[in-house]
Amino acid sequence: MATSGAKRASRAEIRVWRAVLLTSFLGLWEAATRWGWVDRFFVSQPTELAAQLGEWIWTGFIFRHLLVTMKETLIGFVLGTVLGVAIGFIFAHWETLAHVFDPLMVALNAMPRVVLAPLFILWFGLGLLSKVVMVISLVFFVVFFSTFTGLREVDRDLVNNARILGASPRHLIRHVLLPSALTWIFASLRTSVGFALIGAVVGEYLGSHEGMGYVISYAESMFNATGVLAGLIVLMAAVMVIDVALKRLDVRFSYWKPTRW
Amino acid sequence: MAGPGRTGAIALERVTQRFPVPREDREFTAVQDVSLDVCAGEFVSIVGPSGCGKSTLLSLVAGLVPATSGRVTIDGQVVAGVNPRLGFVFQRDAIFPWKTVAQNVGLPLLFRGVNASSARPRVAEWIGRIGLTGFEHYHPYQLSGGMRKRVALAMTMVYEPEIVLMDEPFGALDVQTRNLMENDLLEIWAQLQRTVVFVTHDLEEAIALSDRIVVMTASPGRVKAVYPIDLPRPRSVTEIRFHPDFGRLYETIWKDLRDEVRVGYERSQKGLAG
Amino acid sequence: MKTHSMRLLIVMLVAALVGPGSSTARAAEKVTVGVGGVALMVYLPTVLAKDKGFFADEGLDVEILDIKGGGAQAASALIGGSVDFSANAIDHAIKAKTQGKDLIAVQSHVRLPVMGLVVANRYKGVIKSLADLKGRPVGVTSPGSQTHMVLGYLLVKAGVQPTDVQIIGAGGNTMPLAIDKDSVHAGMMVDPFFTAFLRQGKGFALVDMFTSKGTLDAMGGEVQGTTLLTRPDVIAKRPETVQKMVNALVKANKLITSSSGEELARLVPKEISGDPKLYAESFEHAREAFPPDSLVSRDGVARVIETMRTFGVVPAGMKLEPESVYDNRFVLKALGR
Repeated sequence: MATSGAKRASRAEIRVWRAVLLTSFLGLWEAATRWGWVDRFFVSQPTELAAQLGEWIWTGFIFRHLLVTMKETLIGFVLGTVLGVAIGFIFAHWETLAHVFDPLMVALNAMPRVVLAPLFILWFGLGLLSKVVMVISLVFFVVFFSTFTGLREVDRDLVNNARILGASPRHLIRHVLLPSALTWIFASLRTSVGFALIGAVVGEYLGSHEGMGYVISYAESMFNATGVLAGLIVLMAAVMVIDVALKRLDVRFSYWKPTRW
Repeated sequence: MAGPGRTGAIALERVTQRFPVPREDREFTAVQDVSLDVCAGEFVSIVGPSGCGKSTLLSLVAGLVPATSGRVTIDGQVVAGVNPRLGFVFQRDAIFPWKTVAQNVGLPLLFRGVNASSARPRVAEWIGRIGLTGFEHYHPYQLSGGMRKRVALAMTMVYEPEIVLMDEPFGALDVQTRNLMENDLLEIWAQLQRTVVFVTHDLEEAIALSDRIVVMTASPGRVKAVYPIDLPRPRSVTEIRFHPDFGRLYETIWKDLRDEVRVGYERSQKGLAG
Repeated sequence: MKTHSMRLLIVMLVAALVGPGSSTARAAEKVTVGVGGVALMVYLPTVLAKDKGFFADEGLDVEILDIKGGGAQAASALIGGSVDFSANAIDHAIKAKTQGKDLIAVQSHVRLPVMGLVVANRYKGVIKSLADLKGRPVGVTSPGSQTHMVLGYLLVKAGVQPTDVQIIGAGGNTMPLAIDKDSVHAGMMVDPFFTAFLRQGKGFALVDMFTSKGTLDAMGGEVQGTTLLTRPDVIAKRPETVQKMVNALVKANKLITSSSGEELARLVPKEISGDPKLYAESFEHAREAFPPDSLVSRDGVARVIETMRTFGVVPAGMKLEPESVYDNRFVLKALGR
């Protein structure tokens, strides 16, 4: 069998290339800071970062703060998702509501909520609540818009068929609308996880006594670039883990779709 | 006109259906002043050029849309919303991709509150009838077009509706599969004797299947002519073509149909040019 | 005729160039000073020096950059080179030194912490000493800030582990609100919030470090506060500029320490003084904090370093001499010594 044009690299090859990319980047970074091309004070160094991360993990220091941030993130994420899906359904069903609220939703969404963070802290205090509210404010809109659109994209024939087969509104939601919109909802979940984390961290950054945002803020006030970057790396790792979990969930719920390559 | 002790008679009295045209300030008339009677247990086909409102008629009978003027009744009762004693087979695949074959066929029973233990044997029976035993746990994406159509048919039949509406159900299938399905349909119909209203623009199919054929004009759709099909039953779709009366019927009805198709075609040409 | 008018023209041109206000006509040197919140009383010397034209008298066109992130951001800007000077607590110079960056204090704005630990009135009788803060949320302006370090030090001195107290970053100007809403039971406050809060009868001061006595009691001696910071390369390449900055600031301190609160409230621009009576009162309370001679106190710096060692901000093994973060040469020269 003749091969056509360029051969697509095998998965192993891709992994190798990724490793090469990463090591060159790290190597360059280390060299640049050691040989004085770039000031270590501002960008830290891979070896220093590794040492800091190692110390944090070894002493268990970081887990306490990571747990706090994750708690805020997940609570807000779940609440924001539930709210977003619920209101998405309500608006998709009662079109008038959707039309009336449309400009408000768009305006609220356009407002940078991160700027509102200090206000949230003012209204909701310095504890868990303000961070959770922050997260909800970010997650809700993403999930809402996705759910709303996903519901409107549902095949009309399917809905009509279900009605003719005798589906009550509750049946419709459970057997037709929800499964159909689920793809959209899941896509939005993976986007909003990142936002959720940002919300929690920003909230902590502005007023808290624990959490990753606190750790990063403290490091920043100490001019400790290593601490700041190490904190960011921990956050990145956390998001990646959550994303993998979500991907698995997505696959599990997509069992009925024809599999692509 | 109900047959002896049977229900499922449909009557359309001077039905007109208008739709607002989106983004334009006018209305589009799908069907105009249509009057039609279907006896209980009858197999009626509706043929006509594209856009003649055949599908609209089905939607009206199904209660999916209210008539702009005129009356639609089933057994004398005005149609107001979806009638539970009605079945509908859609043109496109309207089976649920996230459910298995068994779940799909069982779905109408679930909706109608039939408990699981009584539903199971009925579902199994119908899956057998459509020849998909062994495929109960497959998902639609794993089935061929013909198999999916059969599932759709089973879904409609499993709750034994009095009236079955079918909107060009076999249009997307290849000829061999189509013939097989048409025979299956005739078999099922012969067993259950429900009212069937069948929309198609395949005249051969219509003649092979029906007791009567209604020919619609080009848009706005009106009833142009109604032809009784007095070919003997039981019929085999592939064999009935060779019946001497088949050709005569075909020729007669085709003349009517052809004129309407031409009108429709010329109108669309004008639309493109003008 | 021709040569005569020619000469006249030349004389006119020269006069225009070199004429009245010739010192300022020679292009004034542009300098930026970073400040973390220009309304705070600790930055008064810089603000006054600009407002009263002391900088201009030295031939400097000073722009005060009010940096929203507070002191830490101003110090970062200094390290990064966006500004050449910053009015900052000496803590920042010490922290920078632990990270291998040198910042030098060349003039002292205040020589006391000028902050107080305020407890909400609702806890009067309940919170009577630092030990009573155990298990309670207490506010500092931000994690790692001077207020944070000082609070920690006070706690340790009182025999309380800082980890026994929930230390929360609650902001500078949002501290009063945080205490009001009971988000924190007590907080480290700077002026004018401290004076305003107490005046409104909303709380009482557990520790008052606006006065010498208060600071002595709490911290055991002088604690160096806000200074004018700059980088070593600025001192090396533009020592005259540094001298001029210091000259102006020394004048400012002299003016401050010889004025009454009311007089200052009138001298200071309206946007900064706010309510003149409140401002006068705050100032009188904190009067002792302003050093008339502008000299950075070695003892004060040493105490700050010790405070930060308590928290491991200065690592145990690291040698850090007070002399490495300040330089009084310029002040001494300005004073004529």
